[in-house]
Amino acid sequence: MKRFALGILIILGLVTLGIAANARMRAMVAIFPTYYAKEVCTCLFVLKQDEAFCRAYHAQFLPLIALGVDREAMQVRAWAPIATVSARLIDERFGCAVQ
Amino acid sequence: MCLSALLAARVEAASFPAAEWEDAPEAYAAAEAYAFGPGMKTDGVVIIRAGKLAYEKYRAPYTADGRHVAWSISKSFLNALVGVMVGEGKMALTDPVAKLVPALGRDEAHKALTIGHLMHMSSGLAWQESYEESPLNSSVLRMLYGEGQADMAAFVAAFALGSTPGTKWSYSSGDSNLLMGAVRQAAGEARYRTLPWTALFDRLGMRSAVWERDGHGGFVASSYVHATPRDLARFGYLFLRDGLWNGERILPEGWVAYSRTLAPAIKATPAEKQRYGAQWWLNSGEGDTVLYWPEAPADTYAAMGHWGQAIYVIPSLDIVVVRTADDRDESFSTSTFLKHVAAAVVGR
Repeated sequence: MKRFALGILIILGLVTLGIAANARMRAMVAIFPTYYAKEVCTCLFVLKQDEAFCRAYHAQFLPLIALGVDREAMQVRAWAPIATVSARLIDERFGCAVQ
Repeated sequence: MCLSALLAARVEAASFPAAEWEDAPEAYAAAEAYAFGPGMKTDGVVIIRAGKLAYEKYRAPYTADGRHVAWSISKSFLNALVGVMVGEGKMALTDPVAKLVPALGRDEAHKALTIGHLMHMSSGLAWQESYEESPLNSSVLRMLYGEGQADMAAFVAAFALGSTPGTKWSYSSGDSNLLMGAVRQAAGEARYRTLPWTALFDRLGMRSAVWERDGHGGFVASSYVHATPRDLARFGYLFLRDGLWNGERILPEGWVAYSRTLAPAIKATPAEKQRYGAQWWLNSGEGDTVLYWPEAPADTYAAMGHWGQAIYVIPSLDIVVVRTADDRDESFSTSTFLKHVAAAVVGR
Protein backbone atom coordinates (compact mmCIF):
# COMPACT_ATOMS: atom_id res chain seq x y z
CA MET A 1 0.00 0.00 0.00
CA LYS A 2 2.85 2.35 0.94
CA ARG A 3 4.58 1.53 -2.34
CA PHE A 4 1.37 2.22 -4.25
CA ALA A 5 0.93 5.62 -2.59
CA LEU A 6 4.57 6.46 -3.24
CA GLY A 7 4.13 5.47 -6.89
CA ILE A 8 1.11 7.73 -7.26
CA LEU A 9 3.02 10.60 -5.66
CA ILE A 10 5.99 10.12 -7.99
CA ILE A 11 3.70 10.02 -11.06
CA LEU A 12 1.88 13.17 -9.93
CA GLY A 13 5.21 14.88 -9.33
CA LEU A 14 6.50 13.94 -12.77
CA VAL A 15 3.30 15.15 -14.44
CA THR A 16 3.56 18.45 -12.54
CA LEU A 17 7.22 18.86 -13.53
CA GLY A 18 6.35 17.99 -17.13
CA ILE A 19 3.65 20.63 -17.26
CA ALA A 20 5.88 23.21 -15.60
CA ALA A 21 8.67 22.54 -18.11
CA ASN A 22 6.45 22.85 -21.17
CA ALA A 23 5.53 26.44 -22.05
CA ARG A 24 2.40 25.47 -23.99
CA MET A 25 1.15 23.21 -21.21
CA ARG A 26 1.92 25.90 -18.65
CA ALA A 27 -0.10 28.42 -20.64
CA MET A 28 -2.96 25.94 -20.83
CA VAL A 29 -2.96 25.32 -17.08
CA ALA A 30 -2.79 29.07 -16.50
CA ILE A 31 -6.03 29.63 -18.45
CA PHE A 32 -8.16 29.02 -15.39
CA PRO A 33 -6.47 31.33 -12.87
CA THR A 34 -6.03 33.93 -15.64
CA TYR A 35 -9.76 33.84 -16.36
CA TYR A 36 -10.52 34.13 -12.66
CA ALA A 37 -8.11 37.01 -11.94
CA LYS A 38 -9.11 39.01 -15.03
CA GLU A 39 -12.86 38.58 -14.76
CA VAL A 40 -13.05 39.16 -11.01
CA CYS A 41 -10.92 42.31 -11.49
CA THR A 42 -13.41 43.52 -14.12
CA CYS A 43 -16.38 42.60 -11.95
CA LEU A 44 -14.97 44.51 -8.95
CA PHE A 45 -13.36 47.57 -10.50
CA VAL A 46 -15.16 48.06 -13.84
CA LEU A 47 -18.66 46.80 -13.08
CA LYS A 48 -18.18 47.94 -9.46
CA GLN A 49 -19.99 44.97 -7.94
CA ASP A 50 -19.17 43.77 -4.44
CA GLU A 51 -16.62 41.07 -3.72
CA ALA A 52 -19.04 38.36 -2.59
CA PHE A 53 -21.06 38.78 -5.79
CA CYS A 54 -17.99 38.69 -8.02
CA ARG A 55 -16.47 35.64 -6.37
CA ALA A 56 -19.75 33.74 -6.56
CA TYR A 57 -20.43 34.81 -10.16
CA HIS A 58 -17.18 33.31 -11.46
CA ALA A 59 -16.37 30.65 -8.87
CA GLN A 60 -19.19 28.48 -10.13
CA PHE A 61 -16.73 27.17 -12.69
CA LEU A 62 -13.53 27.39 -10.74
CA PRO A 63 -13.92 26.18 -7.18
CA LEU A 64 -10.29 25.10 -6.70
CA ILE A 65 -8.53 28.40 -7.27
CA ALA A 66 -7.66 30.71 -4.37
CA LEU A 67 -8.20 34.41 -4.85
CA GLY A 68 -6.75 37.50 -3.20
CA VAL A 69 -8.13 41.02 -3.65
CA ASP A 70 -6.02 44.11 -3.03
CA ARG A 71 -8.50 47.00 -3.18
CA GLU A 72 -5.84 49.67 -2.71
CA ALA A 73 -3.78 48.47 -5.67
CA MET A 74 -7.01 47.56 -7.52
CA GLN A 75 -5.49 44.17 -8.15
CA VAL A 76 -6.75 40.58 -8.06
CA ARG A 77 -4.42 37.61 -7.70
CA ALA A 78 -5.42 34.01 -8.42
CA TRP A 79 -3.44 31.02 -7.20
CA ALA A 80 -3.68 27.60 -8.79
CA PRO A 81 -1.27 24.65 -8.96
CA ILE A 82 1.76 25.72 -11.08
CA ALA A 83 0.38 29.13 -12.03
CA THR A 84 -0.21 32.36 -10.12
CA VAL A 85 -1.77 35.19 -12.11
CA SER A 86 -2.70 38.75 -11.29
CA ALA A 87 -4.83 41.35 -13.03
CA ARG A 88 -5.27 45.00 -12.14
CA LEU A 89 -7.29 48.04 -13.11
CA ILE A 90 -5.35 50.12 -15.66
CA ASP A 91 -7.72 53.10 -15.70
CA GLU A 92 -11.36 54.08 -16.23
CA ARG A 93 -11.16 53.68 -20.02
CA PHE A 94 -9.09 50.56 -20.40
CA GLY A 95 -10.47 48.59 -17.45
CA CYS A 96 -8.54 45.57 -16.20
CA ALA A 97 -5.62 43.72 -17.77
CA VAL A 98 -3.62 40.65 -16.87
CA GLN A 99 -0.17 41.52 -15.54
CA MET B 1 -44.64 56.01 -49.31
CA CYS B 2 -42.22 53.07 -49.63
CA LEU B 3 -40.49 51.68 -46.53
CA SER B 4 -37.05 53.13 -47.34
CA ALA B 5 -38.52 56.63 -47.88
CA LEU B 6 -40.43 56.26 -44.62
CA LEU B 7 -37.26 55.26 -42.78
CA ALA B 8 -35.31 58.15 -44.34
CA ALA B 9 -38.02 60.61 -43.25
CA ARG B 10 -37.88 59.15 -39.76
CA VAL B 11 -34.10 59.73 -39.58
CA GLU B 12 -34.59 63.36 -40.61
CA ALA B 13 -37.18 63.99 -37.89
CA ALA B 14 -35.54 61.84 -35.21
CA SER B 15 -34.72 63.03 -31.73
CA PHE B 16 -31.35 62.10 -30.22
CA PRO B 17 -30.38 61.81 -26.55
CA ALA B 18 -28.29 64.57 -24.96
CA ALA B 19 -26.59 63.75 -21.65
CA GLU B 20 -29.55 61.49 -20.83
CA TRP B 21 -32.31 59.82 -22.82
CA GLU B 22 -35.59 61.72 -22.76
CA ASP B 23 -38.25 59.75 -20.86
CA ALA B 24 -41.51 58.71 -22.57
CA PRO B 25 -42.68 55.76 -20.44
CA GLU B 26 -44.70 52.98 -22.02
CA ALA B 27 -45.97 49.69 -20.62
CA TYR B 28 -44.45 46.42 -21.79
CA ALA B 29 -46.26 44.16 -19.32
CA ALA B 30 -46.06 40.87 -21.22
CA ALA B 31 -42.41 41.38 -22.19
CA GLU B 32 -41.56 42.26 -18.58
CA ALA B 33 -43.46 39.26 -17.21
CA TYR B 34 -41.54 37.02 -19.59
CA ALA B 35 -38.05 38.51 -19.21
CA PHE B 36 -38.18 38.86 -15.43
CA GLY B 37 -40.43 35.85 -14.81
CA PRO B 38 -39.66 32.64 -12.92
CA GLY B 39 -36.48 30.90 -14.04
CA MET B 40 -35.26 33.85 -16.13
CA LYS B 41 -31.99 35.55 -15.30
CA THR B 42 -32.50 38.93 -16.93
CA ASP B 43 -30.32 41.63 -15.32
CA GLY B 44 -31.73 44.60 -17.22
CA VAL B 45 -33.96 45.67 -20.09
CA VAL B 46 -33.93 49.07 -21.78
CA ILE B 47 -36.32 49.93 -24.61
CA ILE B 48 -35.84 53.01 -26.78
CA ARG B 49 -38.81 53.79 -29.01
CA ALA B 50 -38.87 56.75 -31.40
CA GLY B 51 -35.69 58.04 -29.79
CA LYS B 52 -37.00 58.13 -26.23
CA LEU B 53 -36.58 55.93 -23.18
CA ALA B 54 -39.84 53.98 -23.21
CA TYR B 55 -39.03 51.31 -20.63
CA GLU B 56 -36.30 50.14 -18.31
CA LYS B 57 -36.01 47.69 -15.44
CA TYR B 58 -33.11 46.12 -13.59
CA ARG B 59 -32.61 43.14 -11.32
CA ALA B 60 -30.42 43.69 -8.22
CA PRO B 61 -27.53 44.21 -7.91
CA TYR B 62 -27.65 45.89 -11.35
CA THR B 63 -28.89 49.48 -11.71
CA ALA B 64 -29.31 52.10 -14.44
CA ASP B 65 -25.89 53.52 -13.56
CA GLY B 66 -24.03 50.20 -13.48
CA ARG B 67 -22.00 48.77 -16.30
CA HIS B 68 -22.66 45.21 -17.45
CA VAL B 69 -20.42 42.85 -19.38
CA ALA B 70 -21.29 42.87 -23.09
CA TRP B 71 -19.06 40.00 -24.28
CA SER B 72 -19.53 39.50 -28.04
CA ILE B 73 -21.67 42.61 -28.43
CA SER B 74 -18.15 44.08 -28.68
CA LYS B 75 -17.87 42.59 -32.19
CA SER B 76 -20.56 44.98 -33.43
CA PHE B 77 -18.55 47.90 -32.00
CA LEU B 78 -15.63 46.59 -34.06
CA ASN B 79 -17.94 46.70 -37.09
CA ALA B 80 -18.46 50.42 -36.46
CA LEU B 81 -14.72 51.12 -36.11
CA VAL B 82 -14.12 49.35 -39.43
CA GLY B 83 -16.93 51.48 -40.88
CA VAL B 84 -15.21 54.66 -39.75
CA MET B 85 -11.88 53.50 -41.23
CA VAL B 86 -13.53 52.50 -44.52
CA GLY B 87 -15.36 55.84 -44.61
CA GLU B 88 -12.04 57.64 -44.29
CA GLY B 89 -10.47 55.50 -47.01
CA LYS B 90 -7.97 53.98 -44.55
CA MET B 91 -9.04 50.45 -45.46
CA ALA B 92 -11.39 48.71 -47.91
CA LEU B 93 -13.48 45.59 -47.54
CA THR B 94 -11.72 44.07 -50.53
CA ASP B 95 -8.24 44.73 -49.13
CA PRO B 96 -6.13 41.68 -48.32
CA VAL B 97 -5.64 41.54 -44.56
CA ALA B 98 -1.94 40.95 -45.32
CA LYS B 99 -1.72 44.60 -46.46
CA LEU B 100 -2.20 45.63 -42.83
CA VAL B 101 -1.10 42.49 -40.94
CA PRO B 102 2.14 41.35 -42.60
CA ALA B 103 2.08 37.89 -40.94
CA LEU B 104 -0.77 36.97 -43.29
CA GLY B 105 1.56 37.42 -46.26
CA ARG B 106 3.41 34.19 -45.47
CA ASP B 107 1.76 32.15 -48.24
CA GLU B 108 -0.62 32.59 -51.18
CA ALA B 109 -3.56 30.95 -49.37
CA HIS B 110 -3.40 33.38 -46.44
CA LYS B 111 -2.86 36.32 -48.81
CA ALA B 112 -6.33 35.62 -50.22
CA LEU B 113 -7.95 36.54 -46.88
CA THR B 114 -9.69 39.93 -47.09
CA ILE B 115 -11.13 42.43 -44.60
CA GLY B 116 -14.59 41.48 -45.92
CA HIS B 117 -14.02 37.80 -45.12
CA LEU B 118 -13.25 38.71 -41.50
CA MET B 119 -16.31 40.95 -41.30
CA HIS B 120 -18.40 37.98 -42.46
CA MET B 121 -16.79 35.38 -40.14
CA SER B 122 -15.59 33.52 -43.21
CA SER B 123 -11.81 33.56 -42.80
CA GLY B 124 -11.38 29.81 -43.17
CA LEU B 125 -8.88 29.81 -40.29
CA ALA B 126 -8.92 26.49 -38.38
CA TRP B 127 -10.47 27.98 -35.24
CA GLN B 128 -12.37 26.23 -32.42
CA GLU B 129 -15.07 28.54 -31.04
CA SER B 130 -16.10 26.88 -27.81
CA TYR B 131 -16.31 28.14 -24.26
CA GLU B 132 -16.67 26.56 -20.83
CA GLU B 133 -18.20 23.36 -22.21
CA SER B 134 -14.91 22.37 -23.86
CA PRO B 135 -12.14 24.52 -22.37
CA LEU B 136 -9.14 22.45 -23.41
CA ASN B 137 -10.08 22.53 -27.12
CA SER B 138 -11.14 26.15 -27.13
CA SER B 139 -9.20 28.55 -29.34
CA VAL B 140 -11.14 31.37 -27.64
CA LEU B 141 -9.96 30.54 -24.12
CA ARG B 142 -6.38 30.10 -25.36
CA MET B 143 -6.66 33.55 -26.96
CA LEU B 144 -8.29 35.38 -24.04
CA TYR B 145 -6.58 33.64 -21.11
CA GLY B 146 -3.75 31.54 -22.50
CA GLU B 147 -0.79 32.12 -24.81
CA GLY B 148 -2.87 34.41 -27.05
CA GLN B 149 -3.43 36.97 -24.34
CA ALA B 150 -0.09 38.71 -24.98
CA ASP B 151 -1.09 39.72 -28.53
CA MET B 152 -4.41 38.39 -29.75
CA ALA B 153 -4.20 39.59 -33.36
CA ALA B 154 -0.78 37.93 -33.74
CA PHE B 155 -2.09 34.75 -32.09
CA VAL B 156 -4.95 34.48 -34.60
CA ALA B 157 -2.78 35.43 -37.58
CA ALA B 158 -0.61 32.36 -36.86
CA PHE B 159 -3.52 29.92 -37.40
CA ALA B 160 -3.47 27.58 -40.38
CA LEU B 161 -6.31 27.65 -42.89
CA GLY B 162 -8.91 24.88 -42.66
CA SER B 163 -10.76 26.06 -45.77
CA THR B 164 -10.35 28.65 -48.52
CA PRO B 165 -11.17 32.16 -47.25
CA GLY B 166 -14.72 33.21 -48.07
CA THR B 167 -16.09 29.72 -48.70
CA LYS B 168 -17.27 28.68 -45.24
CA TRP B 169 -19.08 30.64 -42.51
CA SER B 170 -17.87 29.86 -39.02
CA TYR B 171 -18.43 32.22 -36.09
CA SER B 172 -14.99 33.10 -34.75
CA SER B 173 -13.82 35.44 -32.03
CA GLY B 174 -10.44 35.05 -33.68
CA ASP B 175 -11.69 36.67 -36.89
CA SER B 176 -12.81 39.70 -34.87
CA ASN B 177 -9.52 40.16 -33.04
CA LEU B 178 -7.49 39.71 -36.21
CA LEU B 179 -9.70 42.37 -37.81
CA MET B 180 -9.01 44.67 -34.85
CA GLY B 181 -5.29 44.18 -35.58
CA ALA B 182 -5.95 45.50 -39.10
CA VAL B 183 -7.92 48.47 -37.71
CA ARG B 184 -4.93 49.27 -35.48
CA GLN B 185 -2.60 49.47 -38.46
CA ALA B 186 -5.13 51.45 -40.52
CA ALA B 187 -5.64 54.02 -37.76
CA GLY B 188 -1.98 54.38 -36.83
CA GLU B 189 -0.62 53.75 -33.37
CA ALA B 190 -1.15 57.20 -31.84
CA ARG B 191 -4.76 57.49 -32.97
CA TYR B 192 -5.61 53.87 -32.21
CA ARG B 193 -5.00 54.31 -28.49
CA THR B 194 -8.16 56.40 -28.13
CA LEU B 195 -9.95 55.45 -31.37
CA PRO B 196 -13.06 53.88 -29.78
CA TRP B 197 -13.67 57.13 -27.85
CA THR B 198 -12.88 59.64 -30.58
CA ALA B 199 -14.64 57.67 -33.34
CA LEU B 200 -17.63 56.40 -31.36
CA PHE B 201 -18.12 56.62 -27.60
CA ASP B 202 -17.59 60.37 -27.16
CA ARG B 203 -19.65 61.21 -30.24
CA LEU B 204 -22.58 59.08 -29.02
CA GLY B 205 -22.30 60.25 -25.40
CA MET B 206 -21.42 56.75 -24.15
CA ARG B 207 -19.74 58.02 -20.98
CA SER B 208 -19.77 54.64 -19.23
CA ALA B 209 -17.95 52.78 -22.00
CA VAL B 210 -14.83 50.77 -21.17
CA TRP B 211 -12.88 48.72 -23.71
CA GLU B 212 -10.26 46.40 -22.24
CA ARG B 213 -7.06 45.52 -24.07
CA ASP B 214 -4.72 42.57 -24.51
CA GLY B 215 -1.07 42.48 -23.41
CA HIS B 216 -0.03 44.33 -26.57
CA GLY B 217 -2.50 47.20 -26.15
CA GLY B 218 -4.99 45.85 -28.70
CA PHE B 219 -8.68 46.38 -27.89
CA VAL B 220 -10.26 42.97 -27.39
CA ALA B 221 -12.84 43.18 -30.16
CA SER B 222 -14.31 39.77 -29.49
CA SER B 223 -15.31 40.33 -25.88
CA TYR B 224 -14.38 43.31 -23.75
CA VAL B 225 -16.65 46.33 -24.15
CA HIS B 226 -18.44 47.13 -20.88
CA ALA B 227 -21.14 49.80 -20.56
CA THR B 228 -24.51 50.59 -19.01
CA PRO B 229 -27.55 49.25 -20.88
CA ARG B 230 -28.62 52.84 -21.61
CA ASP B 231 -25.28 53.47 -23.31
CA LEU B 232 -25.47 50.19 -25.24
CA ALA B 233 -28.84 51.46 -26.48
CA ARG B 234 -27.10 54.57 -27.85
CA PHE B 235 -24.97 52.31 -30.03
CA GLY B 236 -28.05 50.42 -31.26
CA TYR B 237 -29.71 53.76 -31.94
CA LEU B 238 -26.80 54.82 -34.18
CA PHE B 239 -27.56 51.80 -36.37
CA LEU B 240 -31.33 52.37 -36.21
CA ARG B 241 -30.64 55.87 -37.56
CA ASP B 242 -28.54 54.48 -40.42
CA GLY B 243 -25.19 55.64 -39.02
CA LEU B 244 -26.26 59.24 -38.44
CA TRP B 245 -26.13 60.93 -35.03
CA ASN B 246 -27.85 64.25 -34.59
CA GLY B 247 -27.12 65.32 -38.16
CA GLU B 248 -23.56 64.02 -38.17
CA ARG B 249 -22.69 61.04 -40.36
CA ILE B 250 -20.61 58.67 -38.23
CA LEU B 251 -20.82 55.55 -40.39
CA PRO B 252 -20.49 55.79 -44.17
CA GLU B 253 -23.64 55.82 -46.27
CA GLY B 254 -24.73 52.25 -46.96
CA TRP B 255 -22.70 50.84 -44.06
CA VAL B 256 -25.69 49.77 -41.97
CA ALA B 257 -27.31 48.12 -45.02
CA TYR B 258 -24.04 46.26 -45.67
CA SER B 259 -23.84 45.20 -42.01
CA ARG B 260 -27.36 43.73 -42.24
CA THR B 261 -26.73 41.82 -45.46
CA LEU B 262 -26.27 38.09 -45.11
CA ALA B 263 -22.68 36.83 -45.15
CA PRO B 264 -22.46 35.10 -48.56
CA ALA B 265 -20.76 31.98 -47.19
CA ILE B 266 -23.75 31.15 -44.95
CA LYS B 267 -25.77 30.20 -48.02
CA ALA B 268 -22.99 27.79 -48.93
CA THR B 269 -23.66 25.97 -45.65
CA PRO B 270 -27.28 24.80 -46.07
CA ALA B 271 -27.41 23.20 -42.61
CA GLU B 272 -26.61 26.55 -41.01
CA LYS B 273 -29.81 27.94 -39.49
CA GLN B 274 -28.25 31.02 -37.91
CA ARG B 275 -28.23 34.26 -39.84
CA TYR B 276 -25.26 36.60 -39.76
CA GLY B 277 -24.28 39.80 -41.54
CA ALA B 278 -21.05 41.69 -40.83
CA GLN B 279 -20.34 41.34 -37.08
CA TRP B 280 -24.13 41.59 -36.51
CA TRP B 281 -26.71 38.77 -36.17
CA LEU B 282 -29.79 38.85 -38.42
CA ASN B 283 -33.28 37.41 -38.19
CA SER B 284 -33.37 36.78 -41.92
CA GLY B 285 -31.37 37.15 -45.10
CA GLU B 286 -32.42 37.85 -48.66
CA GLY B 287 -34.60 35.04 -50.00
CA ASP B 288 -35.19 33.47 -46.58
CA THR B 289 -38.67 32.08 -46.01
CA VAL B 290 -37.96 30.97 -42.45
CA LEU B 291 -36.92 33.40 -39.72
CA TYR B 292 -34.26 32.51 -37.17
CA TRP B 293 -36.39 34.15 -34.43
CA PRO B 294 -39.77 33.21 -35.95
CA GLU B 295 -41.97 35.34 -33.70
CA ALA B 296 -39.84 38.51 -34.02
CA PRO B 297 -40.18 41.03 -36.86
CA ALA B 298 -38.28 39.84 -39.94
CA ASP B 299 -36.09 42.96 -40.04
CA THR B 300 -34.70 42.44 -36.50
CA TYR B 301 -30.92 42.44 -36.28
CA ALA B 302 -28.80 42.19 -33.18
CA ALA B 303 -25.47 42.55 -31.44
CA MET B 304 -25.28 39.52 -29.15
CA GLY B 305 -22.96 38.32 -26.40
CA HIS B 306 -22.37 35.30 -24.19
CA TRP B 307 -24.97 34.50 -21.51
CA GLY B 308 -27.77 36.50 -23.15
CA GLN B 309 -26.40 40.02 -23.68
CA ALA B 310 -28.10 41.68 -26.65
CA ILE B 311 -28.86 44.90 -28.49
CA TYR B 312 -31.85 44.26 -30.77
CA VAL B 313 -32.55 46.81 -33.50
CA ILE B 314 -35.98 46.65 -35.19
CA PRO B 315 -36.38 49.40 -37.84
CA SER B 316 -40.01 48.53 -38.69
CA LEU B 317 -40.96 49.31 -35.06
CA ASP B 318 -38.53 52.25 -34.69
CA ILE B 319 -37.15 50.50 -31.63
CA VAL B 320 -33.93 49.45 -29.89
CA VAL B 321 -34.09 46.86 -27.12
CA VAL B 322 -31.15 46.12 -24.84
CA ARG B 323 -31.16 43.07 -22.60
CA THR B 324 -28.41 42.20 -20.15
CA ALA B 325 -28.53 38.82 -18.49
CA ASP B 326 -26.85 35.91 -16.83
CA ASP B 327 -28.38 33.12 -18.94
CA ARG B 328 -26.55 29.95 -18.04
CA ASP B 329 -29.08 27.68 -19.72
CA GLU B 330 -31.49 27.76 -22.67
CA SER B 331 -34.58 29.00 -20.75
CA PHE B 332 -34.73 32.41 -22.42
CA SER B 333 -36.07 32.69 -25.97
CA THR B 334 -35.21 35.79 -28.01
CA SER B 335 -38.11 35.00 -30.32
CA THR B 336 -40.70 34.91 -27.51
CA PHE B 337 -39.31 38.01 -25.81
CA LEU B 338 -39.36 40.08 -29.00
CA LYS B 339 -42.85 38.78 -29.84
CA HIS B 340 -44.08 40.39 -26.60
CA VAL B 341 -42.17 43.62 -27.25
CA ALA B 342 -43.53 43.87 -30.81
CA ALA B 343 -47.10 43.12 -29.70
CA ALA B 344 -46.94 45.98 -27.21
CA VAL B 345 -45.77 48.44 -29.87
CA VAL B 346 -48.17 47.32 -32.58
CA GLY B 347 -51.11 47.21 -30.13
CA ARG B 348 -50.60 50.83 -29.12
